[in-house]
Amino acid sequence: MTKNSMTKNDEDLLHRYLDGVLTPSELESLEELLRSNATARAQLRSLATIDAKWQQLAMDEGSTLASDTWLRPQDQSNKRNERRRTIPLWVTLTVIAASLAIAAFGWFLPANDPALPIDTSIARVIRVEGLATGDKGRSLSQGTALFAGEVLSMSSGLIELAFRDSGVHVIATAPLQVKLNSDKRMALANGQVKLVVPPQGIGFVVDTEKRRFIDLGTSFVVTANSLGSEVLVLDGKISVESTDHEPASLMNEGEFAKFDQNGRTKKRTASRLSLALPEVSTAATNVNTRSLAGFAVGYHPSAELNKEHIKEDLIGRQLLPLIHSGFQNTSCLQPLQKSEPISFRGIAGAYHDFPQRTGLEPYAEPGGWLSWYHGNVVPPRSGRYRFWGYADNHLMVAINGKPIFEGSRRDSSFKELGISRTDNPALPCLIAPAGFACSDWIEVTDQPLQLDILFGEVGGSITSGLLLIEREGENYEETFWGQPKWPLFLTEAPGEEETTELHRLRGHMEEKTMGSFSIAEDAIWKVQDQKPSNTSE
Amino acid sequence: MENNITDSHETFLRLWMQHEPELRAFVRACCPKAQEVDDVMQEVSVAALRKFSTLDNHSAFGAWACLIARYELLTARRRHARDRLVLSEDIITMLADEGACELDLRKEQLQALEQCIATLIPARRELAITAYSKETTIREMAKQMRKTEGSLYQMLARIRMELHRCVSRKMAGASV
Repeated sequence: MTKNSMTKNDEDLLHRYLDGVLTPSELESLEELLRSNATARAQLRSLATIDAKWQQLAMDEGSTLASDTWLRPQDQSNKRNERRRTIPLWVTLTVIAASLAIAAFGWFLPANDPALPIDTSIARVIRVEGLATGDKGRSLSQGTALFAGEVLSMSSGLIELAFRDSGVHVIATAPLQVKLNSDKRMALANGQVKLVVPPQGIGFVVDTEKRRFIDLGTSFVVTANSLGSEVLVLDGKISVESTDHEPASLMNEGEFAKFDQNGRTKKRTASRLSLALPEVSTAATNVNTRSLAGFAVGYHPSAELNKEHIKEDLIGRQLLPLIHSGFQNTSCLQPLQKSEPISFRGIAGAYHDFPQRTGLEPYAEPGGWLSWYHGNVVPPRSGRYRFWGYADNHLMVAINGKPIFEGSRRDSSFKELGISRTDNPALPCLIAPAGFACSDWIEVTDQPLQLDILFGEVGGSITSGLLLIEREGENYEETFWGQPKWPLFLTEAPGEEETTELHRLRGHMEEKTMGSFSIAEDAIWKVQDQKPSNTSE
Repeated sequence: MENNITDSHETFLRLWMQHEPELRAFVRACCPKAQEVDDVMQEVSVAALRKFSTLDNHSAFGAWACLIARYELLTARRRHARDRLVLSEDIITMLADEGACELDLRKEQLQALEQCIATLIPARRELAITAYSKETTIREMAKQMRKTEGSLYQMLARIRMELHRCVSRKMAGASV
């Protein structure tokens, strides 16, 4: 072996180094190799180039790319419409440049600096609910002009404002104390602000005591109080900097982080937030004549799962023939294991323990599970309706055998069905990074309809979802963030205990995930002419 | 004055965008943890922007940025030396010094790599993208795929080698 040739072991060392899994003794061997062997050093640089490229691709394209590869070519165009916006690294630099320019030109006013005597307004109040005051205690109302350096205070309610030049739109909730430093910067001492930043506002900065949040073309929510700050990214990316000169970090759509006063950071992803969602514990196996009945299916624990990839959706694909047949041909369910009969209790919150609660366990967890509810229902009133919701992972509604709503995550095989859907990331919901999904309007009469609902998990045990219904022309109460509290889609009235649990879930969602719903008796689609044969194969 | 600074920042951004992929590859070779690459790159970009006015010859931007990256890599190495496995300073210096002379080679490799990745079978491409995503850990992937972590690392190594051979072939072809 010459000094500049390499063995298989040498190559393995390079790979293990790049994978970050070297042991101390392997590190010693690698150092010896790299010190003495120029070929090994050159090969390491070449392999690192490949690694850097993958990193860049994963960062730029995320898992959206991954799910695309499973689609047929004709589905790619649909999928492209769902592709999430990505922000290239250069934008970070734009922000750095902008912030240096800010400092150079003196736009930036630290929170304790006096306001500059600028006589042109930088923002305008759009809406106030409650008493809001500006500098020198002046009362703020719709249309009030706001100036650089002005401090806004509120003890209760909310204020909505828009920055004039940057077009940044802000909804702030009390208790609130926020200083508008400039058209591109605000300092939040107390309260919660949601920002929607248009392209011309990229680089907008929200300062808190310990952290600085810099927008990279996005929508995000910052909360600050004496205990620290929190941020959740609704859309796009932000850069988070410490005022202690620690390295900045990027946060992506759907991520949430909490920063305490000691500088500790707790970053949470949508799936981690899903984990914390309450699970409504009412027994799903109480089936009666008023129930929309169904069952859950999964693979037998001993089944040979040919799962090539973590996100590969076996169970969804398994049930596609059932969907294609208008929910008539159940032969695809034959090889699967079934739960006890279950009743539809709405889709709301977490379903981590659902396989245990419905008697599906033991089953092959990596293969996922799906619950299928099937029956005839009557809408509460004739008119036009549409479904809203989302699920981690599968959610689909079909009327008279035709799929009309799909609120699944991108890794669901239901995407192949090409069901028309719009995503609404501007309606914040932490556990649904793409925002609420919405169906097209459907027209119904007061005659019975065949209803089929599929909900489930691609694989693993973190499952959540929400399925709501909107009737055209109805007015719904809205959350602070502008999401109408559409009613939970139900087929029978929830019991007392169940209602209490649903209220608790809603409280959790409003506080922690920014999503909400209502429970309305007059929105229930009641079951009629239940046919037991529909719920058995 | 204001216009001069704005122009200078625009020039900097243009040059950074042009050289960022090669610099990232340069930094990756000297970072034992992939996660550290972003941190180092951010430090390099901030330092480079601050010092940009001192760079007279913009055609030397890549080599100049490599020098800054070399310094930031050594700083990061010292920061992490106590709590994790890191390469010795002399090796990082060697890798960085040689790497600084290979920026053109990096650029060619990255171009060839684009084509090679496009020819990978989808499952391999998907596996790699997921493995390099910050949202997934190898442990989680292994559990879901019912494989061992070791076998996943081996699959990633095979994909890496497949691309390495593809890039070498393409570059050899291009130079004929």
